[in-house]
Amino acid sequence: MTMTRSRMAPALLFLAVSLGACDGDLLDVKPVDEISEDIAIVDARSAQAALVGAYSALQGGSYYGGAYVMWSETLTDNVEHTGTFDSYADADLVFLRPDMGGITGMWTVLYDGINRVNLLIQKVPAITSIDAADADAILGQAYALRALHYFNLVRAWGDVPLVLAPPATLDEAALVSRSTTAQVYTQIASDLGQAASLLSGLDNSSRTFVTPGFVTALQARIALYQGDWAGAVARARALQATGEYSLAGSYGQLFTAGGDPTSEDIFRVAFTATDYNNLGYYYQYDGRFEIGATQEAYDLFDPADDRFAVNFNGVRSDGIQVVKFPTTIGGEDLHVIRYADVLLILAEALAEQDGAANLSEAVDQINAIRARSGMAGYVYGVDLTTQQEVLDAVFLERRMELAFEGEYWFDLVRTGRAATAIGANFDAHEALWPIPVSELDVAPNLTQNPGY
Amino acid sequence: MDMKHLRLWSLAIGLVLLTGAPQALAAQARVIRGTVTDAQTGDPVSGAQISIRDTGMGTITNAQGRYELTNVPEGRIELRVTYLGYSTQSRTLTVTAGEAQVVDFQMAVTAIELEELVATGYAQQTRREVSSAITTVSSVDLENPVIASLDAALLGKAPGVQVIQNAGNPGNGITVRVRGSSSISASNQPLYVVDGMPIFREDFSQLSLGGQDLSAITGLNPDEIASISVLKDAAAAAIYGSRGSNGVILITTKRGAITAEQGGVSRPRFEINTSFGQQEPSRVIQMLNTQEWMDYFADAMRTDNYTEQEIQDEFDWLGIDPSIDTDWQDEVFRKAGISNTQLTVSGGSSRFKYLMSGSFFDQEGVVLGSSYDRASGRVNLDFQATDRISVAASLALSQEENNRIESDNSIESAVTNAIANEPWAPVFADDGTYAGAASYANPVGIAMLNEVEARTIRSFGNVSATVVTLPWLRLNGRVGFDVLNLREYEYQSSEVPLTYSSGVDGVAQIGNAQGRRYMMEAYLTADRIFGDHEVSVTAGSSQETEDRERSFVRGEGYTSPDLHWPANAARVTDYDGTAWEHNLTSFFGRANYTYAGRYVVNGSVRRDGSSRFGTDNKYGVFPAVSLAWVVTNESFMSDFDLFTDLRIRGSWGKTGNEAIGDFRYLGLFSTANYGEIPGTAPSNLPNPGLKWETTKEWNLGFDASFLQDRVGFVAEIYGKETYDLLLNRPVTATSGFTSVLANVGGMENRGWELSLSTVNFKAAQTGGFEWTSNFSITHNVNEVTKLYSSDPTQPGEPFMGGWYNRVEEGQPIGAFYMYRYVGVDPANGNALYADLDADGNQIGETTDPSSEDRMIVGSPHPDYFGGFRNTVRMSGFELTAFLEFSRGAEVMNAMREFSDDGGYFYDNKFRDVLDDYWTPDNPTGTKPRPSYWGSTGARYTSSRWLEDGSYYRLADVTLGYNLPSEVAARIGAADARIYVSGKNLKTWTDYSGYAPDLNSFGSSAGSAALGTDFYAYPLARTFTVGFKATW
Repeated sequence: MTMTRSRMAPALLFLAVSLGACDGDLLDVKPVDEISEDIAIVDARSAQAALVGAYSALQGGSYYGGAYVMWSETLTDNVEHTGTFDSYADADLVFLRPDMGGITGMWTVLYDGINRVNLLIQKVPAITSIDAADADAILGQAYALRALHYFNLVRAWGDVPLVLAPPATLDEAALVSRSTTAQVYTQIASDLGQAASLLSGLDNSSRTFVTPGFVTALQARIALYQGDWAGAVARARALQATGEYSLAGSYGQLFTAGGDPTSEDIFRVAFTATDYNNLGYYYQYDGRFEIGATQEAYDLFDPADDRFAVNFNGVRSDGIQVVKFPTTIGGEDLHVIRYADVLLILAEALAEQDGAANLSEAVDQINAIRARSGMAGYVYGVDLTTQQEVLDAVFLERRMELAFEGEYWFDLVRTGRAATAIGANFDAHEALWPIPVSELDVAPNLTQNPGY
Repeated sequence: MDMKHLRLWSLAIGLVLLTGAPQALAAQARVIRGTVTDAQTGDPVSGAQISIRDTGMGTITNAQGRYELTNVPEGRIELRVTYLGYSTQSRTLTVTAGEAQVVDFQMAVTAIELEELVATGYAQQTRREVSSAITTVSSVDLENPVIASLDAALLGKAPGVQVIQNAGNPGNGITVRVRGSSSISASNQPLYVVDGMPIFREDFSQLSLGGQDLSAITGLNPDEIASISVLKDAAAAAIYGSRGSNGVILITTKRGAITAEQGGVSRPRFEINTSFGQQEPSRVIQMLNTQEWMDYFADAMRTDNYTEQEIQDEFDWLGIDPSIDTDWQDEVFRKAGISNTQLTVSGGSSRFKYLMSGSFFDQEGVVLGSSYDRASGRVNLDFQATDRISVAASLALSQEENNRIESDNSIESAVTNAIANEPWAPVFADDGTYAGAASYANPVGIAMLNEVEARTIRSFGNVSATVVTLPWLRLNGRVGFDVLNLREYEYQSSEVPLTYSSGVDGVAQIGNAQGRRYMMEAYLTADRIFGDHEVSVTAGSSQETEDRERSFVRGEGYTSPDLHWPANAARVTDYDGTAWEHNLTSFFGRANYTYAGRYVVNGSVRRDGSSRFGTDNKYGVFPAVSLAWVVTNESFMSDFDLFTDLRIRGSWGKTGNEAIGDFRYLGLFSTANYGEIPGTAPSNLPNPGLKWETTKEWNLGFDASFLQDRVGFVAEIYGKETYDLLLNRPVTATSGFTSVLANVGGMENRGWELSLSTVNFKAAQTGGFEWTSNFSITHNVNEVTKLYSSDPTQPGEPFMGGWYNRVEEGQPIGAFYMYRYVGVDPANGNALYADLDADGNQIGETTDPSSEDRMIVGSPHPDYFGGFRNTVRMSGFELTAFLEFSRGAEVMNAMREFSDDGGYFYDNKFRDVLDDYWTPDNPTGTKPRPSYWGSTGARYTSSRWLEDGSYYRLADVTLGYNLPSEVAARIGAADARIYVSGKNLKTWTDYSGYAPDLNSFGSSAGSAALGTDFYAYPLARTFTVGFKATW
């Protein structure tokens, strides 16, 4: 007995000790639905996955999936606030403040997107097991996306920090400072140049991933923002010259519930019923009807214009419903840039260069857009004669053709028309949005835009 | 559990059993017998529990008060007798082979049981030996709670424990705070340990149903509980180390006891307890009827210069039919049934004891469409395998079905819309369908057509073995498990106009969540007495592994209301499917030293390693020490017989909060799909230093018992400092992230607790008049002391932790932050608010406040809360009344955002808006001018809607009658009792909503979101009758 007992006690004691001690494996637990950052981008397959993840940033509710598109319309005379969110109420009043959640959200998602592509640009060149062609395709798309993000930043905030690599430490990240608008545009041009050369082996068949055609179209749009009329014309003509794009047969085909591709698509952001956009839900009576069209926007359209019925359906005392984004589900792909936009860029850049030939061709481009929606064209020299008349017509056509697609605010600011269009709610300093106060708090070298 | 450990354990337990087995043969007859009588009257006490400490052996006295114990272990033993309402007695004696001893007890009625055994975690101590702050709640306090969950039953019963019901939904999650909030981002709920096994507390639900949540605690039937120990201070809770910061609730379930033998076998004891009754909403909010609504809105339009014709036009445009007057609350409320039946069989011999119970609890909700039921069973077995080896098993099994409804914090809720909808809108349209004429979806339609069914299957329990290796040394081993499966299904009908679902042809979702937890522990307990020195040491280790899994799918678009399972969906709109693991490995030890029964020293330490901690901080160490001076045992006290107990206690300890979330320290990429293509993107910034939150707490306690134990008094005072609180440290978004989780915050709780138990009137003989009282009160002050600041010399950055709740240094967590309302401008009837300068000083009044004018205007924390119970007994009757109270908390009546906004929203208004509002004809009105355009400022979120949440509540009145034994005998019962009970009978409060202790952020939301009533489900008033008998 005593013997058994005396052997037993140490045995149990050993057990007690071993329970607490054999814990190495037990405490080293990893998630099953996330992976360590160390193995996230290490080969062709994981790099491809991270590239897809970079596109995913475009879907964000603060980006093409919602706020960036809707907010920039709500600021203007196209859209008014009909719902309950303060953020949209303030946008309607152009009441911009550095502590607005909406502005912070957009800033955040844009830099999140930049960080995702910066990781690719940093890590993919170091992967030895990847085909050169695959690496080029990944990097080319990454550069193009970075250019798109920075363009979306610079046109809204002006001078912004140029972060071109993932910060090594948070202390380093806190040292960011703003680069000038010119520097940002220089970087964008460089990124797009890189993208164009890296993607030269790709065709233009994809509608929801970056193609060489998208790079050219974005270059055209950016040239317009920089007043580089000749450059804009050249890029637009280069795109025309591919012969791969044409206006969709009808305006309605561009905004179907299924988001079906058309010959006019250059780049769309892909959405599904689970990764959805908020536009239809925000605009429709069946959704939350957060925002609606202004009477003024509604009145711009002739009811005979095909675009009228695609844009509007329903006028109630609480507001006008926009049905251009046809489902409250939001599973349809949205346009970032389409061929009609490029034709209007061409028209505007031609008109800006003046001269009868340019003005005449500009009017032809406007007429092509109008004809597609069943509207009679303008006759140059009769309906439109002066450069200003043509420019005004291009602008009006742009406003109508791209209504509610998120370009109007930036077009107003770019062309100096914001004060006239928006009226007393618009202060000149509001042409640039405020830097989020949460950024100023944690990055002491950042400065605020004037007026805030 | 990994197989290696499982095998090791089976082996160990087998070994333990084998080595002890031969000793059974050595046992010889050793008998103790005796009689237990009432010291005052000399009457026999039947049903008293006789037990031998630390052996699990015991019996109960028969109708003549007699008992007999056989096969008593040799050597020094402590024999104790306990019976409710009498002071526990114990006798130490030495048992020798072949000897029969007679031990009689005379028991005295008492207010406090000094010899009561208190569970302290891995051990029990007598009340006298406890030197930290531990409150016990006995089954008497929990008897027939007619309530789904035990945490709700604790309300007002344990000083230092604040219980917030959150809402009246049957089976909803309850908020429990032991000595205040001690975390900002991590969990604030205490650890629940049942019979030594830590169980799940979390909400496993994957459905979002507005404000309220579920809690795994409802899986434990309160009727099965014998006693609860609440480890309140850090010294008591430190034995649970990194899970002790929020207090520990140790639950001991009922077990079998030795029953008298009949024909050579011990006779089983049957107990049946059944009750049924009816509930109704304890309060209805007075709303406007159609005529009042129109009058009020007409005034709102008049002050905005509408002509009478324009007013009529507006009403016509709204489509008001003045002949309709719907009382929406009446439409969704109902009288609802409630019942509870429990059957228990228990008994045993000195070798084997058992308790088996089964119960069914069934509660309809007072709001249409809601109900909860639970079937539960328990088997508790105690087996004295040999003289030296005992084995115990405790197993619980339950099944719950909760038919939930969307209630608060949602605009598609039956309760919300019963308050918000206009009285002039009908329930039904002409074609008999649910009408959609009001501003919000039809609450009756929501309640009747939507379905939410949450089914839980739960089993937890443990098997333990104790080996007495040396007379003073015991080895204990335990293997425990907790398994939970929650299946949820929801259908949001497409047939209720104005809902999201009606726009997408129906929404249905189904989710399965599973949690499994296994525990193994082994520890040694040594108890030695050397003259005046008593030493007890416990040391051991434990391992807990937990894994959880969930899957979920949501589909939209259904062809008909009859085909509404996700399988019928046109499209999937959300899905999930994942699993995760969480493990804990620990060493723990405790030493207890008593000198001459006068000085008590307790020390403990625990070292926890957790899979949640960062690689740089894998292990935390949590020490504690506590002292007690038993003044009554000093020789100089021997001449004072006034006090039977006088003790002073002091303690200090350190505990942690491990509930910081899984994998938060790792740098991670997660799924980021695009179109139909899978992708990855960064999801978490690494922080290898991430660790537990730490609490340090001191406690001073004072216990007194005097006038022959007729007055018992316990006082505690404490200070609790929590640091390393997890907060999101903001980082520049240009890094791709906005924050990283870091241990930066601090918080303090200071307070005191008092409890007083008295025998006010003592019966002279059996059945005479007897009156006892228990009173407890708690005061706690919470303060946030440190938040993140980029500049360490500056105060931390405050932030909003709820819609109205602020987290700010120097303020209690969740302090209300909004405009301060100062009154009505007599000139124009506009609301006036405090106007602040940049430093927060008031510089005037304004009708147009900006966000900078927001300020701290109140606190959701009570200054005092507690309970007061009185019990009167006479001639077999027993009347108990329990009053529960809370003073000084404020409640944000957020319903007033829409129901007291001056007429900007069409929502129906609280009837009190009619009292004395400003109009040109009533320029001295005390309420702002109603305004159809909302231009008076009356609709700004302000302290105007903050109400005093103080209350007294008559929570329970129960009248019971014990049938005379000759009557009980006629149905063959040993005793029988009938009772009637009323719960929630009356609440005295100035609060204007359903109840002041509601919170529409539920129990598992951010701990700062407190005291906000946004259409919370009303509490029920319940009347029940019951019958209880034993055979």
